[in-house]
This record gives sequence, structure tokens and C-alpha cells, in this order.
Amino acid sequence: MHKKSAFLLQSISFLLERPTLFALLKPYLWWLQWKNPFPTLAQFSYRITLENVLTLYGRKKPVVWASLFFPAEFIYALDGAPFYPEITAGLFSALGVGAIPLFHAESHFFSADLCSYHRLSVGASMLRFFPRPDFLCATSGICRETVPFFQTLAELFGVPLYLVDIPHEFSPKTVRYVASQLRSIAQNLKRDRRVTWDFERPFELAQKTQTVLQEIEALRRKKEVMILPPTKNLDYLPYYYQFMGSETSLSFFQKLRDELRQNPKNPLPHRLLWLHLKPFYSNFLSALLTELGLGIAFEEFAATYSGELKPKEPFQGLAEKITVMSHALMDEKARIARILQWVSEYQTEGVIQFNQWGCRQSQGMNALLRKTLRGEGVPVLFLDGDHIDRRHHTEEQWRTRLQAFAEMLGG
Amino acid sequence: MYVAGLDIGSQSTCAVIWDGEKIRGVALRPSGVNPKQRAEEVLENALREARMSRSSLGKVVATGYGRYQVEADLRVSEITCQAKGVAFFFPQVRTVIDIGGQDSKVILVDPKTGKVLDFLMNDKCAAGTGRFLELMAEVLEIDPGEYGILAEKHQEDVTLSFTCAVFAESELIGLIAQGKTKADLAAAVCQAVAKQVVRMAERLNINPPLAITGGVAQNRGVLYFLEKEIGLKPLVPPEPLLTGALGACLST
Repeated sequence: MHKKSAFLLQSISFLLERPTLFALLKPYLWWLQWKNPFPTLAQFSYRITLENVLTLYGRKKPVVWASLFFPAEFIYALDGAPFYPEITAGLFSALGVGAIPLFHAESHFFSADLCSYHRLSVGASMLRFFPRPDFLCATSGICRETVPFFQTLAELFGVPLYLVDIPHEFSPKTVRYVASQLRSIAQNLKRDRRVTWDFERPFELAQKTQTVLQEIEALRRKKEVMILPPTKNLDYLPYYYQFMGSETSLSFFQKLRDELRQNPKNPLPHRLLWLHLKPFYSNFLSALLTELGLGIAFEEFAATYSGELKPKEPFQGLAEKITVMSHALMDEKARIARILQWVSEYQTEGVIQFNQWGCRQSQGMNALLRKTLRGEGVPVLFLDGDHIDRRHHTEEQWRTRLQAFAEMLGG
Repeated sequence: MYVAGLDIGSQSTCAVIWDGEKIRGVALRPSGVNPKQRAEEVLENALREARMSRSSLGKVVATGYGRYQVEADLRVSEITCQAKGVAFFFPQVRTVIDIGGQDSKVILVDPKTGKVLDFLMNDKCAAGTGRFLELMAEVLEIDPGEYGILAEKHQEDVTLSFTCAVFAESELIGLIAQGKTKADLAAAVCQAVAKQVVRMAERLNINPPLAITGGVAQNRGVLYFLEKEIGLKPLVPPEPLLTGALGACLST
């Protein structure tokens, strides 16, 4: 690496590891609050992002890294600040700074064939761009790559990793097995870090958020309601995962619900179901979908857990949530059945699966998915690319496939 | 109404002038580095052949990867255009395999309506395309038009791994060093293309009758191996490079 570049990267990581520096954000946040007491969704998101930067880099609370399907409610219950590296990888990519950590990881034996969410996160961790964790929590579902990924992170930072093993099948026995692991993690944290647990508030907020989400989904099932531009809802991913169980998520989804109720936009002609996530580094795909009249009625990763979380039996409820959500993505029968249900509920004309480069979890069942959907008369398009690494994307190839798909639906 | 169909592909740019019943003029040239200018040239040539002026055209419909680089009244994907163009020659066709310069496509068509039922395209891989044949022809020091004649003379079956065009090139050089004949290697290249295309086509289930279009449809070697791999004799339109442009005319 060029000496100047190396110096610049070292300077950035040095500054990012100075918690007091982030206190400078406080007056700006106060000014934002004063300027926009009733913020729009975009203004709200901007403020929340900065507040989150202040909390995580300013080290206001213990920073707990978690894999996507580890419930944030668990972290809020110990008064920690959840940080999801996979979600932040999307943010880095959207900000156009993904190439540096990707390159850094690849130059340290992390193959370009690995999932770019993990590759970027490892690179950003090695460069100390991400906020230093106090400890890590991860589940072995839905993606098997998550375990070695988090083991690498634990090694990199020299912090403990609390790993929850998720069996493939779903049954009361497996829920009890997962609950016992969560209980054991909680006991260890209480003993080692003197953590005090309060599940009441995060569970209450999560349940309220769940109710609002159900209202949002009831609205989205109507043909005249659509979140635009298409795939926009996937930008809201942190509110579905990282902030679930906090005031932030609840406020955000209340605003989204009100916006959908009050400002119905002209929906696009075609209603589709979107599987997996989307590229974060470019708006091309979203603009192309709009141009071709392909609207997204629902996204697989916006599916939430509708079960009850009881503070009296916190580990049982959380275990059920993890197991149900993992099973629905890991098990081909469960996943395909759920997709067919959404096709019916959201009255979608077709399904688009974005094949993330290197993602075995989603692509491994493509043949079965296609066969079932075609058997039900539902057109399906597999779109290849990468959500994070722009080197694996080819805009013109997307255009041809999506235009042909739109013509097929329209014809 | 006269319609001009323009198919701006990676290798060739074609124009067809359609009067609503029959083809009045055609033109075809390599795409080169300025597809917009080349499209203008082929359109002028096709109009000249049809003895018409530009002003007498009712519509211009563009297809192919360069469809957004030219002025057109309508832009249609090459998938839909190939299906429509082939259906003009063979209305009973249910599967179309289009092997172009930089990609190949498999299209399932409803013969009753001519509509596309499903499709697949190759992705990020030159193997199974016309470009692969061109690259290997350079290594073998032959003209791509010679593949068919050479492949017919092959004596020994040689298999290429066809992982990617660059690997295949070095593999071919290794086989030349082993003393394999040009005929055997030409056949191996044709077979590699055929296998790659069939591997993709079988994902959609090849429903007969099957038609082959694109520049590679003129390669007898590839056609021979395609027939052998699939177990079906494919139909080839009289002008397999023009079906996209004709389909564009028929998309109005």
C-alpha cells in the first residue's frame, strides 16, 4: 500500500477510536432536533444514524456486536448498544467507502468468493473502522459462514464470542435447546461483566413495534399502497433488526405507517415479491425498476416475528423468535411455503430473487424454488450480482433481464 | 406502416425494414466501437435496399445491448424480439437458443400466443458465446468460418474444461503442444460451446421444436454438437442474425 494511503487509513482509525471526539456531534444533533421537531422519514433516519455513531463510537454503552438474526431485544435488555456488522457493511457500501475494507480483507487471505457482507466487515474491523466491541453474540443460523466470520472477529478484537447453535429443524425441543443457550450466555454475562437484565422495556417496545408493522403490512397488501422507489424498504433494515426493542424502531415505523396512510403514491403497474437484499452502492437498480414499472409489494427480509415475548420467560420467547426466523430461511420447505403465502397475500405477479455473490443460503434452493413457483404459475427471475461489492455488478445485464421480465409479465 | 427494426448486438448490428407483411430491406455490419453510428449506417443501407427514405418510416424499434444508445420510438429486450422473430419463420417453435457474440439465451415460447414463458441468460462468462469461438480461432490460427469444415474432419475426441475463456485458451495451447490436430481441437472448441449452452438450456427443459439463432447458428460444428448433446435437430432460420431485428419490427 502507498505510504500516504497507509498514513491516511491509520489516521482515520486513530480518530475513530477517540470516543471524546464524537461528543462534538452533540450540538449538531441538538440543532437538528430544534430545526426539525417533526422530521420526515429521511430526516429521522439521518438523525438516528448520527445518534448511533455517537453511542457506538462515543462508547456511551457497552458495544455488543451481533449477527443479523441475533435478537436486539437481548442486547437492549442488558443496556448495551447493538451493532450489526452485516447491516453496517450495507451502510459503508451505500456511502461509497466499501472498496477499501474489501480490498484490505482480500489482501489478507479472505477470498473474493466469500460473502461480501462478511468480507467488508472483516476488512473494516482489521482497519479499526468499526466501533470496537465489548463482546460478540452470534447465531449459527441462517448462514453457516456466520460462525467462522464471528470467530475471526473475536480473534481480531480479543473479545469473547457468545455463540448460539441453531438446529435446522424447528420443534419445542429445539426451542428449549436454544433457550438454554441464551440462559447460559445471560448467566455468564451477569457473572463476568456484572450485567443486570431488564427485559420488560425492550419486550414492550418490540411488541408495540410489531403491532405497527402489522398495520404497515395490512396497508401494503392493498394495491394502491406501495413503498417507492422499489427496494426502498430494504434501506430500513436497521429498524427491523438493530433497533427492534427500542423507541427508535417504534417511532420510525409509526412514521412510516402514517406516511403510507396519508401520502399514497401512484403505485407502479406490477407488484412483485423481492427475495434477499439489494445492492446498496447504486441507485441504478431502483431507478430501473421504477422505469420498467416493477414495484415491490413485499421483501423477504422485512418479514418479522409475530410471536409474543414475555418478560417472565424471556429466554423461551427469544429462543422461539430466533428459531422460527432462522428456520423460515434455512429450511427450503418452510422458506418456499412462506414465499407462496406472500405471493398470495400481497397479490404479486412474480418473484425476483437477487442472487448475492457467494451466498449459499439463498441460492442453494434456487432449483426447488423455481420449480415450485413455476408449478404454481408464478414467474420468477434470478438476478445475479452483489449487494456490497460493485465489482460483481453489470448494469446492462440487469437491464436486459428486468426488461424481458417486465415484457413477459406485461405480455 | 413501415417499421425499422434495429438490433445493436455486441458483435453485429442488423437492420430490417418491414412493411407489415414482408421484409423489404436488410443490412448487417459488425458493431465496432461506435454502435450509434453503426446503427445509423445499417439503417441507411437497409432503407437503400428497400428503396425508401427515412421519412417514410412509421416507427423505429431498437433491441440488443445498444438499444438505449440509438434514437428509437420503442426499445424492446432482445429476449422478446428473438422470440417474435423466430416465431415468424417457425410458428410452432417452443424453445429458442440464441447464441450471440457476448451472451447466450434460452427462451421458452408459447407457440399459441408467441409470448415468452421463461428465459435464462448466461452471466459473466464468455464460454458458450461467439466471443469464445473467436478467441479460440485466434489461438488455432483459423478463421471462425472454418470451424464447421475442420470439425467434420476430427478423428479424436478432445475435451476442453471450458471453465472460462482464458483458462480454455491456455488449455488449448497445452493441447497444441501435445500434438493434437487442428481438426480435433476445432471440434473440441465447438463441443465446449455446445455443452455450455446445453447445460444452461437444460435448466429450463428444452421443449421441441427448438430453433437456434445468432451468429453461432451459422457454425456447423457447434450445430452438430448441439444436436448430439440435445438429441434434437434444431431449426435454423434462413437469416439467424436477423431474427432479433425482425422481432423488433414485429413488437410494434
